[in-house]
Amino acid sequence: MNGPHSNDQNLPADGPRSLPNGSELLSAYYDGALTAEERAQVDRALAEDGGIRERLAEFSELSGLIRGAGAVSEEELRRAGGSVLRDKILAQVSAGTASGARKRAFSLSRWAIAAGALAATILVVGLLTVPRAQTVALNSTFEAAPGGAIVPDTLLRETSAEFPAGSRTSSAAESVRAKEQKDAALLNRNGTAGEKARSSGTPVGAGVVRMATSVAADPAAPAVRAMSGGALETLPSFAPGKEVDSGELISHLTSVEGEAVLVQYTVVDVRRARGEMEVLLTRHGIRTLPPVEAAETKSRDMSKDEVEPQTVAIYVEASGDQLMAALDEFKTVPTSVEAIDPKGMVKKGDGANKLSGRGQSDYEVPSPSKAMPAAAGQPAPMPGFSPERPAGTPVPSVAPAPAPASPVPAPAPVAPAALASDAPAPLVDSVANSPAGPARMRGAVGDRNERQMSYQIPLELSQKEAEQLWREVPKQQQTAPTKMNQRYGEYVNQRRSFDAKDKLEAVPGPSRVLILLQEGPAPAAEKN
Amino acid sequence: MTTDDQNLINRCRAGETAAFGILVDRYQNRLLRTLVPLVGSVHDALDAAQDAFVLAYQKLDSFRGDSAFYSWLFRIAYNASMTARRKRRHFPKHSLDQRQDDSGFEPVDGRAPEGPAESMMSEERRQTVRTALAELNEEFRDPLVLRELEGLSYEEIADILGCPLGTIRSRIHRGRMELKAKLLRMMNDEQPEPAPLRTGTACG
Repeated sequence: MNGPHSNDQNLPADGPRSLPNGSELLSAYYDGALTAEERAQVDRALAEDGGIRERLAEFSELSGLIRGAGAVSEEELRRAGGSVLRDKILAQVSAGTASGARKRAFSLSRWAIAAGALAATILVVGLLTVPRAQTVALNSTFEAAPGGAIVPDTLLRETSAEFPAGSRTSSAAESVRAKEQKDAALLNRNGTAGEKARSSGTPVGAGVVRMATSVAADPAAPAVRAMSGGALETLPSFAPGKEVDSGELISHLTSVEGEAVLVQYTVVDVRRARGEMEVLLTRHGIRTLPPVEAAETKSRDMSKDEVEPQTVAIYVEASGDQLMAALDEFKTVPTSVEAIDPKGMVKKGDGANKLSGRGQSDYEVPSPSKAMPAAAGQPAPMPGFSPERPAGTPVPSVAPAPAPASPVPAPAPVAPAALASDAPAPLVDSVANSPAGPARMRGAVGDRNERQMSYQIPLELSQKEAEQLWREVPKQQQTAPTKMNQRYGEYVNQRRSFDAKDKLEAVPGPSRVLILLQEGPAPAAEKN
Repeated sequence: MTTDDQNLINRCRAGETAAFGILVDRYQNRLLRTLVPLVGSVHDALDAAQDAFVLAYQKLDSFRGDSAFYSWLFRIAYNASMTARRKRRHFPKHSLDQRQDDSGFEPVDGRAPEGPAESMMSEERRQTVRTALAELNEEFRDPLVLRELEGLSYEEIADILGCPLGTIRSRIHRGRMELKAKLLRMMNDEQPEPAPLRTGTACG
């Protein structure tokens, strides 16, 4: 790759004139990926043009370099710890978990990062009222209904798993202890119970779902109530364009004190997202059941080699902190939160309070006056967002800027007029100097005049509240390619991740949770 | 898939984890050879390989044997490598140890060490090529590495990456061109950076 060919980089991109379509054809020729006709064309060019032969030789040289780059010497492997790779893998598979010491703490800030072209929707279903009588079902059997095509047999087989009991705790210390117990239970379950089930010749097959509780790590702790699994064949259709009826799905999830969780992502590439999700779940020691691909597929075009799933459902067994750690690494961010009762109705009010543990409802549709207290001149208490700040701690004021770290508990959510205009302080601020900076969104308007006027959409506003503010912004500004649009989109994502974290924290473990990956376009800043 | 692989898989399914160790021994070097250029460092490649093997073990029941075990394993590993790359982007390392972080090596003096017997390349050149590959846009790097190191067909690469065949052909070519340009620049010592190739959009 040196000397004689060094000036070849200046060749036109389409290669030698004697070879139509140039180097690309030559490159494919080198890889043996041409049709017979194309190959003959290149053969003729090679016979006539020494320059082309030289370029072909370069490909070979390049191949050698790439292969050399992949070679890992013994010394390199030893220094990187590769000599014990086998032992580490066997230790993990023996223990039944891939998490171990690699489990990381939840990093809230990264939840707030919208990444790449993927956008996500997280749907947390909670607050389901499960009758007390509907408790643990051991080896419960259901009749496989005809036409249950959505759930393949593999899912039914793999649901022959034991559910260890977990404990629901309230204090932080108890939570830590419980987490350790859960992890230990997971290790135990995955490593031993699963193998026992596999080797004991347990009859498995369609129509049989065996969910059970194991011995609780803490006998005093209430056992997690594992649902019987319900009739898996009645999973609602994941047909493209059809909204998932969470009320139906919930019967297949673990319900603990009336709570169950469904995490839903809308992704651009379901297959890739599924692969990455599986890696992340494994890394965090979360047991997964085989993904369920939607019966409805993306394409029926038989000219294509394959039909790709448009929706994939992955059942997992995990605690909330496990899930948060794993989903934290997923490249999408959550974008919506709902609570749905068993009938599929949106929950409001006290139920949300119960789940979130905060003094406000995340679900209640705010009235205009409540949505915009600042607009009415009323200060509003704001729940914390920054993970460093204890929940319930008032957020210091952020306006006007530069705001000192004064604990004024009544910041002013931005008013519609301020969003829409170049109105000066108190909306002008410097987030960077704000003690509440990480918790807040900052946008800028006035790009046309090169004036950077910052504003904020406080995260204590619900999505609906923020959307209401957004609707007050003149249409031309909503559609203009300004930072304002971008910031609003970021706000929505950040807000949703905030809500999602809140909900996931409430998941006791190990619980059976459903992760849905649905194909959809990457939304821009959402407006409605 | 070889009968031997299938036997080992059957033993794994019966709960004999030691059989999986044989599969690890058999395929870890091959896997690492591809993962290192994909993720840019031996450390990250080992992480990805570890994740891939563990996930493969957990999913063994779903392996139907329609393809070779290694092909199946590699697809899992490729996903793991993407996770590793993203982790690196989220947690970039900025330190004097960058070179060590990237290569898994302690920084050494400029003298090229004695080349290992299994490679004709000096360690210095190997790192140069890895660096050049790491600088490639992954849209070009991935298909090129899959082609060169895994020997996958364009069709197989298109399947893994979720891209049309024509896109793969184009990207492999452009990957070669860009890699060549980078290597020439690096080996000829710091010529001006040409304008980067226009990058396409993600497939799928």
